[in-house]
Formats: sequence, C-alpha cells, structure tokens
Amino acid sequence: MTASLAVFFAMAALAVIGAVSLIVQKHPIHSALSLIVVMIALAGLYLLLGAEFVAAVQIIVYGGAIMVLFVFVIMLLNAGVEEHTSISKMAGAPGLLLVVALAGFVAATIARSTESVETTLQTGEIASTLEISNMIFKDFVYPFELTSFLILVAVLGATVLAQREKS
Amino acid sequence: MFHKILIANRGEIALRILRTCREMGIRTVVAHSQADTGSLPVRLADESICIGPAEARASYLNIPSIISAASITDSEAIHPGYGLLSENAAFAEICRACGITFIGPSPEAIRLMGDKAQAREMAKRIRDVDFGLLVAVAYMGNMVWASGLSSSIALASATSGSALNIIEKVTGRTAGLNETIFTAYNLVPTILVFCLIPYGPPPTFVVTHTNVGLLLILALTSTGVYGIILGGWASNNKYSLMGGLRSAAQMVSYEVPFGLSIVGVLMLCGSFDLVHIVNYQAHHVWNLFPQIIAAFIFLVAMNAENNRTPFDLPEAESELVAGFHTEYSSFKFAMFFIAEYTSMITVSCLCSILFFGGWLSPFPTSWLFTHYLPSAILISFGLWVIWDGIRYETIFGRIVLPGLGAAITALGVVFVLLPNVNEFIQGPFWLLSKIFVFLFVYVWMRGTLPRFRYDQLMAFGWKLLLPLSIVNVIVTSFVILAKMQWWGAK
Repeated sequence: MTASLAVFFAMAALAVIGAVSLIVQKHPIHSALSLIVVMIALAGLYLLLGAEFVAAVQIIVYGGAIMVLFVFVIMLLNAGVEEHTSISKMAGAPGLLLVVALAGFVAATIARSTESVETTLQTGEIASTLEISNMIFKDFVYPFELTSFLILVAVLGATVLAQREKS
Repeated sequence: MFHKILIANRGEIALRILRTCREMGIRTVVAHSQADTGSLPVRLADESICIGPAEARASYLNIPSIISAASITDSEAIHPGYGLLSENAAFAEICRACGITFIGPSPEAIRLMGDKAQAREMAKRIRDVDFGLLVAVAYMGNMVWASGLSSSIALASATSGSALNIIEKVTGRTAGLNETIFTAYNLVPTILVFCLIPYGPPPTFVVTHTNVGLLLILALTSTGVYGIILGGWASNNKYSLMGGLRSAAQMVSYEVPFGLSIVGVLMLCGSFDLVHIVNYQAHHVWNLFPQIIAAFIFLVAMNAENNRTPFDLPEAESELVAGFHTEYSSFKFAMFFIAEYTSMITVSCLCSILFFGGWLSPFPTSWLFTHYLPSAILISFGLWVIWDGIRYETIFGRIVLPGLGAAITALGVVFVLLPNVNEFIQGPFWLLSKIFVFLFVYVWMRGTLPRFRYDQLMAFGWKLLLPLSIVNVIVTSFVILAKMQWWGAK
C-alpha cells in the first residue's frame, strides 16, 4: 500500500506542478504542454484507483485528441508570448478570499470523512469496462443520449457559425 | 572565404543561398532571366544582373552568359543551387578554367557519380575494398539483400565510435524550446507500447497483462504525434510548422476510422485484452475473415498514422522542403525516423494481433511439420549468409559473415534437436513473421502509390473510411444480435 501511496503523491505533485505551470507560463504552447502533463497525471491517478478504462480514455480523448487540437489552434494563430498586465486589485481580494474558502472546504471534507486515503485506493472494481458500459447503456441511457444530442447540437452550431457567409 | 558570389538559380533555392550568404557576410549577385526581374531574390540581393530571356535554356542554363555575368560583377564563385547547372560537369570545368570557384563537387566527381550506370560500375570496383562496401550495396540491385545485412553490421561498427559526435551535432536555434526534448520524446510512447504486446502464449511471453491493453496502446499511440507537431513548431520555420500542422490534422482525422475499425473486433471478442483477442481467434477463425472491411480500414489508417507514403504529407518534399524535419539534422533527424520505424513495428504487432491471429500459426495444428519452419528458415538463411560472405575478399567477408551465418545455422539446428525449445519459439516466430509481412506491405505501398494531395487525403479519411467503418460496426452488431436471437449462439 505504501508503494501506491508513493505513486499517488508523485502523480498528485505532477498534476499540481503542471497546473501551476499552466498559469505561470508566458507562452501559450508552454501552457498547453503543461495542461497535457496535468491530463496524464490525472490518468495516472485513475489507474491507481483501478479505473483503467477511464485512465486510457482520459489519455486518448484529452491527451491525444483535444490537446492536439488545442496545440493545433495555438500554432495556427501563431500566438506569441503573452503580455503580462499587473493583476487588478479588485480581482485580487475576492480571489484570495475564494482560495481560502476552497482550501477550507476541502480540508473540512477530508477531516470529516471516515475513510482514509488507503481505503479509497482499494475501491477499484466498480470502474471496469463492463460496469461502465452497463451504466451508460442501461441505467443512464437517456441522460447519456441527451448529452450526445447536446454535443451534436453544439457541433452543428459551430459548423453554422464557422460557415462562410453567403453574400 | 569569398567576398562576393554569383547565384545562378531562382526562387526558393536562390533565397536560401542568399540568406546563408547574408549570415556569413558574403556579398551576393543574383543572375536572373527577364521573367524574374521583379522576383524576391533579385530584390533582396546586393546586386543583380540579367542574363537573358525567360526561357531557361537561354538564361539559367546558358553557360557563356553566366560565366560572363560572373566576370562582369567580379564574383569569385558561382553557386548553382540545385537542379539547373548544379550537376553539369562541363560547367564546373569551364568555371575552373576561368578561375571562378564552382560551389559544388569537382567535375570529376560529377562525372563519376552523376551518372547512375557509371556510379554502379565504380561501386562494383570498390566493393571488395573494406568499407567501400557500404557505398556499394545501394547500387547492387538484386544483391542488396545479403550485402544489406553485412553492410548494416559494418555500418554499425563503423559509426559506433563516432556516434557521440553525431548525437552532439547541433542544429540552428529554435523558437525558445529545446528541440532535443521533442525529438527524444518521439520515441517514448512508441517504445512503451512494446511492453503491452503479447509476443506469444501467456504467461511467458506476456510482459504486462492488463484487461485494457488495447486501450492503453491506443492511448500511447495517440500521444505520439506531439513529437512531430512540436518538433515542426519549434523549428521556427513556416514549412516545418505546416508539416507539423498537417501531421496533427492527419492524426486526428485518421484516428477516428482507426479506432472504429477496432470496434468490430472488440464486439466479436468482447474484450480489450489482447491475449483474450488472440485466444478468441484460436477457437474461431482469424478476425480477418469476419472483419475484412475493418482490416482494410485498419491497414490504411495505420499507414496514415505513421505518416508513411501515400500519407506522408507532413514531409512532402515537393511542397514543404522536408516538412516537420526540415531543420533537423544528424541524430535529431534520426530520432524522428527511428520513432517512425519503431511505431511501424508496434502498429504491425497490433494489426497481426487484432486481425491475423497474433502468435497463432496460420496452419492447422495437425500439420506437425510446420513446426520445423522456423528451423528451416534459419538454417537456409544462415547457409546463405555463409555463402554470401565468403565471396568477399575482406576479413569482414571471410570471418565475420561466415561466423554470423554459422551461428544462425546452429540456432536452427538447436531448434530441430530440442523439441521443447522448438515449441517454445513457435508463438514469437509466427508473430515476427506476420510483422515482417506488414513491414513488407509498408515498403511495397511506398514503392507503388504516389502521394495523396492534401484535400484527397482528408476526403478519403472523412468521406470514405469513416462512413465505411461506421457501416462495418452497425453490420457487425446486427450479425452478432441475429446470431444470439436465432441461432442461440453466445
């Protein structure tokens, strides 16, 4: 169990470092690359939880497809180094407040939960491919199909918007 | 170095020479035809001189006018670029006679190597001179096979000493990112795939047994494209960038039919587990037969995923110089292509496991004599290497090659004598043979088909392969349902 805890902390650290680097980096491509690191670290965490299917899909969809398109668009726009403006004080104060609130909330949740980290790591079996497909295509088939329709509508909308206007 | 050179070429080529000259502090004179008067190299050059009418024969290929242009402008050298006069031995000789340096090979070298028939003759002559062999093999036509083997070994031993030098060679500056990372990254996902592939029956030959092996392989291959995209982008060069962008677009487009062609197999076998997929094929037929359309789509899409001809748009040399790897030389260039060739092997593994029965023998199990095929192949190949080696009058040919051949033959004999060992290697042998067949298909396609145009590539992927793969999934699911309903099959 200590080995998986070590892997957990390594992956978690990688995810946090990637996320911080995503914000701090000045070049959009560097930010996109940091986001890929976050995605892959998250996939590692899913693997650790026994959710192999979700982990693989996380890498295929987010790491492989969506981020490729992100990088693609950034490269097409030829976005250069960002200009940094001084952070507005109006945004700073509530931002700090929100960060403290969120941290407190997370800490409270962890403190109140009866499960230790180690027991959470063991609940692996629920996420097998068979279970997931049973849930998607039997228990939650209508919400799932509704989501598909939503995405279809979004795709059609994007196509219409991107179409060259007829004079 | 020179103070001033004449550029006897036009367009892109002239521009490249111009840029280099500017970086080296050399003054430039562009010789141009009347048609190119307003062209970019003429405007950017320090001086320009018109050498004749639009027709190339009267201007760019007109030796007297180019020589006189050089002497009028006091140029010390002539750079012919490539094409046009760059491989003209007579021109190089005239330049020498006029005291003007011809930037390029000597007239003798052009005569010797410019003509294929003559180069072949020379190659034959130097074949037996030690490492002259290396050059020779490429011109040996049908002898490439065995000498190719010997040459790669010789090449490996010859270069291993200077390998570090090759790796250390650096290319130009980039957009601020260390391109070594991308070129090295290229290999990572591809090599990781090797640990997920079952090379033979479990448990001996299965390195990592996971119930989502196929998905993990797809995940790894889908991230493999970053090396090319970012490598192209980091080059800080429009052609490289376009190569990288094309690769990204192609990868995303062909990943869809690639994934959908696998779905049919998954429905038949009911598992992402590669071992299970092969075992399923052991009890039924190879997936190739019920999934022939999917196999076709997979074969096409795997070519596209690996950027192989006819899908090598990212490096189309007729449009993009060399695409994403334009700015990479020596080992960084090699890393791109080691990765490409490694991923050809991994995808071939995947194809044989999904559709061609993985490590299963194509013959019925009752044909016991087929178990001696690996030995037969090894022994005949080993004997051939010995026979091929002793024809060379070098130490390499007399000792190294026959030794190697003897070792291969001995291995074959060992397999015959020890039935246990022979049974043991059956699985890997058949998987390996199938991989070789696919690699042959790759090279075959490369030699046969011309490159797609970009719009054809996209139309082919989205308008033909995608609908076809969806239809395949639908038909397969109906057949499976019908079997369950009416024939009560599981």
